[in-house]
Amino acid sequence: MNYSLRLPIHLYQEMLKDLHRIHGVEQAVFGLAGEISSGLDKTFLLRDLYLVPEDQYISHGPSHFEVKEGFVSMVIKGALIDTASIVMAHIHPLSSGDANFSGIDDGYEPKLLQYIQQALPEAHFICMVHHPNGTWAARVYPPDRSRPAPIENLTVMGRPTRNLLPTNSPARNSPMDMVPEVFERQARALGRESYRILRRLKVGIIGLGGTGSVVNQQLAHLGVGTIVQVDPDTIEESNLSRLVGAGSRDLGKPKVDVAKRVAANTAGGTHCIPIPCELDKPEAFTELKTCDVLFCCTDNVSSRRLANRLAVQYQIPLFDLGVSLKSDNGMLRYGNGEFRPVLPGGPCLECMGVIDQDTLIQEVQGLAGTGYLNGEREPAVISFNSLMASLAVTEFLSVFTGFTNYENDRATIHSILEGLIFDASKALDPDCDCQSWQGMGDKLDFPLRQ
Amino acid sequence: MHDLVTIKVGSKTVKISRIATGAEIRAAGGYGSEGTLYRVVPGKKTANEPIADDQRVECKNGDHFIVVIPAVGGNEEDLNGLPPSLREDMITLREIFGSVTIMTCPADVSNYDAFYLITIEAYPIPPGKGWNMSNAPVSFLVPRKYGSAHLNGFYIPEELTCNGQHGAYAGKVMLNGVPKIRYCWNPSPGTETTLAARSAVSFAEMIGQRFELGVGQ
Repeated sequence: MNYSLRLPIHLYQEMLKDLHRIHGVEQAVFGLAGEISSGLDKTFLLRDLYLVPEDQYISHGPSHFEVKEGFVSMVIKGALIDTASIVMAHIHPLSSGDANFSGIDDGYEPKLLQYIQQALPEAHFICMVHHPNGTWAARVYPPDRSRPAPIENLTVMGRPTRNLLPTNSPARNSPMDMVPEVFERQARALGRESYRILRRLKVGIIGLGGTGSVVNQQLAHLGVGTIVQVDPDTIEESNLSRLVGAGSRDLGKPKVDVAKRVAANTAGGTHCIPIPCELDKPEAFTELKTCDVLFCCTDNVSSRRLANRLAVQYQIPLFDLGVSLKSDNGMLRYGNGEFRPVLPGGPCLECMGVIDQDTLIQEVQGLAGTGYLNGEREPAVISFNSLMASLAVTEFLSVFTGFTNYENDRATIHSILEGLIFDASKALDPDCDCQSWQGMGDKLDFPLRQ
Repeated sequence: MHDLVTIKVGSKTVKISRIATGAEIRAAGGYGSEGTLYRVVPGKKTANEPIADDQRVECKNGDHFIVVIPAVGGNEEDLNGLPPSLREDMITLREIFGSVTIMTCPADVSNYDAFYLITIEAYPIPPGKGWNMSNAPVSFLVPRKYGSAHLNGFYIPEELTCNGQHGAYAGKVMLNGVPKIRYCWNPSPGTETTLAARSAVSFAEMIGQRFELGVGQ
């Protein structure tokens, strides 16, 4: 089994701040984690923190900590309520070299594990050690074993998203990838590490129409390792004016087949997984939940809502984009391009008020139709779509390669008729349903259709 | 029979007398004597109810009990990363002064990356010189280029005074977020004190001489 842990950046920063609260003193932080399982890969999703108040330490000093049973019982209760796994992180302020587990840790973790497993037989116990030099060691005790396994990747999800690569990770010994000539100029702009980062990403695109086909093409040119292409539709004549890579010989073919052909024809050697169905079908869901990032390029609210739920529940960064045009007798009366990032810990599309419930019920009731709102074909122009697709891909590059200087995750509306850009950012809504989904992973049923 | 209730202990569902002791509940769940028994109280981040082994409690159907031990972690201090001479001196310091710690220098010291911070937890203060404590934690910086660079100055708690005052060449500073009084040493070049200031052990001993002098030096 290969283990990874995702840490949303707001929780990671809070954890780090608490571990460093008193210089030179060992401190501990607990957390709860959901999980994603897929074949031999298991990824834990940190979803909640328990910071240890000073009065909950029996004692702590430069080379030890001891947290009261009462506090530990509260963490176990939280894990019982969420059916979550337990995370325990602490700092070794005195050790030389990099972060590593000590003999004391080796001795006490299995003891605490026994009590965790007696209350939570299915839970994993994830242990992390931090060193003031910034390094981490991480390991996990699976429910059926008393010996720990290394956690290979610790990924901080945010802007920028980065892999902390624990000191005990076998992946640490992997050779560095050389940047091939084809990506040399790109690496000059995005950094040499960008090639390796993009190469290892698995990106899901939901909707391979006007915007999704452009996103697909750009990701393949950038050298993204794997693209999961999900769309149930086949190509109609009216698609040909804007579907990248499609020609008249493709009429009637699944859109995902053309997307695969386009991506395969780029020099990056992107691996494609085309899935011609809706995202709430098991075959699409199984691939999408293991993606590192999602692009939502659909033209309807129901799939946008599901993509949002998937992103929040599995802590996958989501870039939602769309173009909405209205015309009257051949005159464009309304034209907006919309872009919204949904990053772990930030507001979701429901917090932002994007999921219109009236439209949702209309769509759900008329789901057997064409998928076009009210059965009418809306206007569409390739350059408008490409504008928003390029913006979304650039934001994706910002989050994953960290080449930009700004930190806020802005949602924007581009008024095509007025040539103006508006900030459409919204704050996280603490009463939003997303608070109960976030980071739950497989521990919460996803609304799949059979 | 009506006095039996169904409860959960750990992950086991068991029947137990409505009134039971902590030890009985613990035993019903297969727990040994180690750790503390808690009744799980509703609320994700609320405290649970501790129950002593000899405490009689009324159990209700559906109650959930768990046994927990403290969470312990630690780190054998690893002196291997230190320069060899400093490593040996740390051992000697502990032989002389008992509890002595060494850590990376806190960031409220200028150029903190150039130093370690050694703290003698209970430095003996000579009696009869007017100091208001018999021992106190004393810290000093050790250059990472130990052996070729001098040690200089030491930190004492703000509340440690001599005849109600701090000495000459002493000033208030922050160390690791805590106010301290820093005493300068400034050994004269070519003297014995210069040589002594090259070793953490002899420097620590020199601090005692400073306490012997009281204030005014």
